[in-house]
Amino acid sequence: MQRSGASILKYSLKRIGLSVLVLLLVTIIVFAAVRMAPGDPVLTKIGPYGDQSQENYDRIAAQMGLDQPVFIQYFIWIGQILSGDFGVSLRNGADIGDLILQKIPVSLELIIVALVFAIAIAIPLGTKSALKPGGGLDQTLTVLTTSALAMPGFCLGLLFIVLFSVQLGWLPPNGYISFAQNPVENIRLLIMPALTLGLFEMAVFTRFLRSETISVLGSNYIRTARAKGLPQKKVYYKHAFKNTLVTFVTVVGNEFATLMGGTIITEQLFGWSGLGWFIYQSVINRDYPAVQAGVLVIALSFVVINLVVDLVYTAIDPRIKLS
Amino acid sequence: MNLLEVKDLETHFFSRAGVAKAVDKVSFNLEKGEILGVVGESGCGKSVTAMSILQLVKSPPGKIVGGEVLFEGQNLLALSEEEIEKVRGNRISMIFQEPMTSLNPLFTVGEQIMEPLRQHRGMDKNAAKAEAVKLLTDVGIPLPEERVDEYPNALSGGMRQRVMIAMALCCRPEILIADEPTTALDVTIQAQILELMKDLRDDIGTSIIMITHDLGVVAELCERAVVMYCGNIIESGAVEEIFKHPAHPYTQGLLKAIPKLTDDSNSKLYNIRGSVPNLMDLPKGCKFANRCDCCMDQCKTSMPDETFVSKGHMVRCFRNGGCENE
Repeated sequence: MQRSGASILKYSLKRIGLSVLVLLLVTIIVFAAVRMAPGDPVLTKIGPYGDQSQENYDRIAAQMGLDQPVFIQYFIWIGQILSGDFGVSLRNGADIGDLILQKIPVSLELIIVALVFAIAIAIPLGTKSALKPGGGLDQTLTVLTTSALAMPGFCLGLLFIVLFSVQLGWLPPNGYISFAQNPVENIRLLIMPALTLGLFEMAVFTRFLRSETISVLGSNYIRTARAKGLPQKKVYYKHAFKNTLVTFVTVVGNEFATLMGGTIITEQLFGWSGLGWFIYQSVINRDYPAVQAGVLVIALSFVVINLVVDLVYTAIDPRIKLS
Repeated sequence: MNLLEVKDLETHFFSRAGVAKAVDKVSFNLEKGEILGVVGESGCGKSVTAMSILQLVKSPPGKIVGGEVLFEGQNLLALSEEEIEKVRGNRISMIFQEPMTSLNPLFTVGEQIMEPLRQHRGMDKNAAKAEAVKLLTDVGIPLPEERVDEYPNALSGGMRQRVMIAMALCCRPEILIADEPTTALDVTIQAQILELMKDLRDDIGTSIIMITHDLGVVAELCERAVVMYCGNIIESGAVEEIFKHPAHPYTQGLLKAIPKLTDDSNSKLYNIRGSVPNLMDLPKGCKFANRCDCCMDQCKTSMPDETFVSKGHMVRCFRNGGCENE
C-alpha cells in the first residue's frame, strides 16, 4: 500500500484528537495540584497589610470565584483558558497570558541554542566513536559524557560562573537582555546557561547515537550494503545514518519537551527570565493563577512537541502503519 | 580452469574467552558456470568462509589470519578496502539468509537495486531505474513498475529474496554466493527461488556457491559439494558420488538423519550422537572423533589428511570411507 496524503491526514487528525484528550487530563491534574498546594490565594491577594476582616476575605474570595464549588471553578477556569484568558497575576495584577507570551520566546531561545549546540557536537562524536567501539576516541568520550551526565546542572553552572565571570571576567554572570535590544549582550548572557543545558544534552545525545549506530551497523541491511560494493562512506552516512536518525528524532523531541519544563534551575541561576524563571518566581510568591497557567503551558508544549515528533517520524519511516 | 580457488583459508574470531577457529585451513575450487554446495550444520564455518571471500567478516572480532582466495588468479585477500569494493556486488555478489532484514527499510526497493548499477556501472538515475524495473521483471516480481517505488515492508519474504537476487545479479557477476537463501522461506517459495537461481545461472552463466544445511537443496541444485565440520572441509566431490557413496562418517550420519516416507512411522529418527565441540577448545585429533562410531586410537591424536576415495571424491578420514556404521 502506498501512503497517500489522505491516510497521513487521517493519522494526523487521530493523533491530534488523542492529544486533546491528554491535555484535558493535564488541566484536571494541574487544577487539582494547585488547589492542594499549601497557602491561601485569597490571603496572598489581600497581602499582609490589607483589610484582614472576614467580610473583605469573603468579598475577595467571591471576586476570585473561590466561593463556588470546586468543579464549577474548574469549568470556569477552562472556559477562561479556552477564550485565551489566563487571569491576572496576584502579585502585580498583570495579565498572565501576556506575561507567558513574553516568556516563551526567552526560554525557547535558550533551549534551541542548547539543543542545536548539543546536536551539532553529538552527531559527529557519537557516530565516530561507534565506528571504532573501544577505541581511543570512544573511551575518552565515555569518560567525558559520564562526567557531564553525573554533574547536576546548577553545579556545572556555578563552576562556569566562577570560571568565566569571576576568574576570567569574560562573561556577565547573570541577567537577560532581549536580542532585539542588544544582540551582543544577549549572546554573551546566553553562552553560560546554554552551555550548562547543552553539555548535558550533548552527553545524552552522544551516548544515544553511539549505541544506536553500533546496533544499526550490526544489522543485516548494512551487511547487504557492504556486499553490494558501496564505499564505506555511503554505507555509514547514507544507509546507517538514516536509520539512526529515525530514532534520534524521537530522542531529541523528548529532550526538547523535557527542557520546556526543565530549565527552571538554570534560568534561575543565570537570571535568564524565561518561562522556568517565571514559574519559580510565581511559586515563591504564591501566585497561583500564574503557576497554574505556567504549568499548563509547559504541559501543552510537551504534548505539541510529541505530536510533531510523531508526525515527523511517520514522514521519514515508511514502516509506521498509518492505520 | 578454476574461476575461484580458496587455499588454506583461516578465519579466526578473537575474544576474551579465547580464539575460535571458525575456518581452519579450508581449500576448495569453483569452476566457471558450476553450482557448488557448501554443506554443514550451524556454526561449522560455512557462512564465515563465504563472508571471508569478500572480506565481509566483521572485524573485530573476526580476522582472516591466513590463506588465499584466488579469483582469476588474483588474491582477493590482498586487496585494499577500495579495491575489494570494486569486486563486491559487481563481479562477486552475495545474498543472505534473512530476506526480511537484509533490505534497508528506509529506502525503496528501486533505490537499493539502483545503487550497485550506479556505483559499478556508472549509470545515470533514469537508466538505472529502467534497469531496476527490468531486473525485477527477470526475477519474477509482478507489477515491477509499481514495486520499484515501494519500501521493503510492503513485500513478502519471498518477494524480498527475489529483490535481493535482482540486486545481486544486476551487474552480471561471475560468482554469486548464496548464504542459505531459502532457509527463511516456506517450501513452495523455496522451490521457486531455487528454480530462479538455476535459470539465472543458465542465462547469465554465473557460478554459484550455495551455502546450506539442507541436503535436499544440494541434491536439487548443485553439481558438486563440500561438507564442512568445525571449520574444516571433511569431504568433497560430485553430488551424486557423495549421496551414493558418502565416505566420511559425518556425511553418512547427515544422510541417514533425513527421514524417509518409507520409514516405519514408529521408529525413532536417527541423529548423530553427542554434539559439536566448542570451537575454542577443539580436540587434538579429528574433530568428529567424539561423535564417531568408527573412532580409532589415531583419530584422537591426529587429524587425517586429504585422501581420494575415487576421482574427485576427497575425504579426511583414516578409514578412507571404509566405515559403514549401521
